[in-house]
Amino acid sequence: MREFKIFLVVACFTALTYWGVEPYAHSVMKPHVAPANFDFEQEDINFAKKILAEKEKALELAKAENNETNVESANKALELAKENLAKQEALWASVAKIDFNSGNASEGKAFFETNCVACHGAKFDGIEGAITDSSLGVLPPDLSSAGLIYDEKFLAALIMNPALALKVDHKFGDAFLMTPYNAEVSGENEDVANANIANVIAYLKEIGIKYQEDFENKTKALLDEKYAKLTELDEGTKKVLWQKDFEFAKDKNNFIEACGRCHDMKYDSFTAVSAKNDLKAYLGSNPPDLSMMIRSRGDEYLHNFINNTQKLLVGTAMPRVGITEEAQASVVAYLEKVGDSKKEERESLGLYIMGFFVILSIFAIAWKRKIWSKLH
Amino acid sequence: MAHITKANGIVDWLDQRLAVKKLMNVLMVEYWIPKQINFLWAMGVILTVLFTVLFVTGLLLVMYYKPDTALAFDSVNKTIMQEADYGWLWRHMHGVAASVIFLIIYIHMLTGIYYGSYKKGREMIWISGMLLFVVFSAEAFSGYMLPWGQMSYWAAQVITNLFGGVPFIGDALVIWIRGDYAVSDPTLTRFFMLHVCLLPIVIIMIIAFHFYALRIPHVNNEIAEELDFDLEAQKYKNGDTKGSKVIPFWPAFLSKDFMYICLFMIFFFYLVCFKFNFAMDPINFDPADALKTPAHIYPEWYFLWSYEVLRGFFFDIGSIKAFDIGLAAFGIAQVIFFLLPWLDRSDVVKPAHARGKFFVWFWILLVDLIVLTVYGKLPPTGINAWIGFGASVVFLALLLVVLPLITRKEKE
Repeated sequence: MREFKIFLVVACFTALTYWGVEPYAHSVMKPHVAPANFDFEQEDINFAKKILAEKEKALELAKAENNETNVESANKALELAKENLAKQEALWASVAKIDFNSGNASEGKAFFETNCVACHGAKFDGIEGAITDSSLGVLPPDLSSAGLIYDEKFLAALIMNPALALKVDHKFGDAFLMTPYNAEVSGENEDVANANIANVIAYLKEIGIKYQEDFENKTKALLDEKYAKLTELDEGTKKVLWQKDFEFAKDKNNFIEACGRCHDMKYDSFTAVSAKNDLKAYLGSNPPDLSMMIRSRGDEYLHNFINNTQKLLVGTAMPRVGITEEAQASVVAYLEKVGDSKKEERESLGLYIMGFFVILSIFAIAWKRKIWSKLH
Repeated sequence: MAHITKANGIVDWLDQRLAVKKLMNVLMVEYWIPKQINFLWAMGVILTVLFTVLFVTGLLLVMYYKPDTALAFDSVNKTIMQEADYGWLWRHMHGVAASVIFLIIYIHMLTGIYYGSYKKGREMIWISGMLLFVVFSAEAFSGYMLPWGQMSYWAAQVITNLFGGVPFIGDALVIWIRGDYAVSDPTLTRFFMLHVCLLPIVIIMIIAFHFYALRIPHVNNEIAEELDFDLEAQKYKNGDTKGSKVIPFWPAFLSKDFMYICLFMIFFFYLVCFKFNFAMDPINFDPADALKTPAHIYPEWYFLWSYEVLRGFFFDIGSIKAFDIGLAAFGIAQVIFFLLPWLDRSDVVKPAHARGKFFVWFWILLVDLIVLTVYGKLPPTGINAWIGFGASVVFLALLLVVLPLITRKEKE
């Protein structure tokens, strides 16, 4: 009993120390953010409001300190925050006017071929973009899969005000690479412009679904061929491995589509499609290799960060990606499959080893009792 | 030459040549341990087991590790963690054991302090143990650099910089330790040498000395009773195993320790496979980058208390710079425990709960060490800086002033 009391004291102090240096210290050091929200309208407006509230607080603080220069800069920051909120609200209000259901894909294709094609391609539908390298800074994305992995409202916001929707306005302002398309810029009637946007998104969705089908069929064919050759495996194992390979290929493809123009994945032998020096000149520094991000940042951080990059890394040149919840889960799954490839083995083996020591402990206790029966 | 006869078995064959029976008797069967002990007396054997784990997994890791700033990160995170069979297991075991061994060292040390096992004939056990602690610290620090992640690099930057505070030769000393003006490839290579060669050899030698130092004064017991080991051992040998106050190291003591090791290993592998972030900081999975300072730089948890003593003195006093005061306090914190047998002025050897004021002193020290540890990690801003300062002052006062005073009273 006495022994048990001593053990409790040791365990309590150990737990207290652990709590202090791990959960508690990290909760103090980590920025607290709202969880990822895939309703991008809500996310952006809430985020702008939160910044506004912070700036108001900062102004009050500066006023209380009675420091004139601080008050002045706090005032400026507050004005900027107000402006930003107004911009976000205006943008999302115009997105709300678009009727996505009325989009006409074939008209969208015609629009795509006269406007978007100046930079973007849709290779799956046989459309080559005019710009095929990263000389502008980054390779303009081919949009074959865009309708599938990106949120439709986000795509509309992106078309209307790219820098703001991508959250890179702080870096590029109005000089952002992609030119906006909206009624104001084109001089068309607002309904016409909105209809065009709805059409283009309908078109992207249509080819996105076909693109995905095609990709899956091709992957299936490749895998069938691969597993047909592996005759030494039994059918059950084959099926499991086949399914794993298939999921991995899908996740990897989503990663390439969403992240692969800028980021490397060295541990999966993938190199970013844009040239390194172009990216550096464009963004200010080279985007990091993502091989170990799952271990260095963890699942939760990655989800929040991809959803709204400015939330966790204020001022970063990385755009908000705007992918759907499903596509983001797939991208993070890929990061984990590459960066923490032994997770499954670790967790199953861990249980076996612990089980081994539980059994060994039983024998050890019996042995100790036998020997000590002569001593007490 | 001894008279060699035809052996009746392998043990006999070896015994005629190596006297293995006599050796076993001296080392194990007739090495006497007090009977009245609790599970805290198992920490020594657990430490030996953990060191063995570190040694063996370390050997496996060296087979794939590359001590070169261009290759180190990938050799650890790709080759070892993903390509070599069970490489991840060896690395996780190595990393977690390195962290957990310090937890056990602290428990072992505090046990020694609580039961007064550092004095009256046991000073050399204490000093060799403290030497082990210091060399283990160097071993842990040099090992932490090897993956060449962000924390490896910046911890090396901060720690090697400390030597710049040494009077007169500081700047030259820093360059000598780094092997370059900045932390770079030669720094990594020499710390690799220290980690896999020199320091392990030194550790093994001190461990042998630590064990040897136990032989003459013997292990302390739960009530710090002074035993006549020869008499008690004779009792045991005469068959009065229940009446004797001692037990043989083998099999009695080890059977108990083996039980504790097995139970401990369940917990250890839980940490290795499911809860390893405390020992393998996520930030260290970012490759080292001299141009990107991490938002928070902190050492591993087991260095936090002394790190907090270092930065606890955050303001200049008169013409003395805060950095120098902190460094001096840090220097004292590193060596002060060596002097414990002499800072304790009393010759009473009893567990703390039988020593009145010393008992209170012990728990205040423990709580202060935990406060230092926690605040050593938190950012040193606002109130945190003052708590750190207070805890640092309390730490120094407890050991340099309070302990000698209360123990001198105790003697009277």
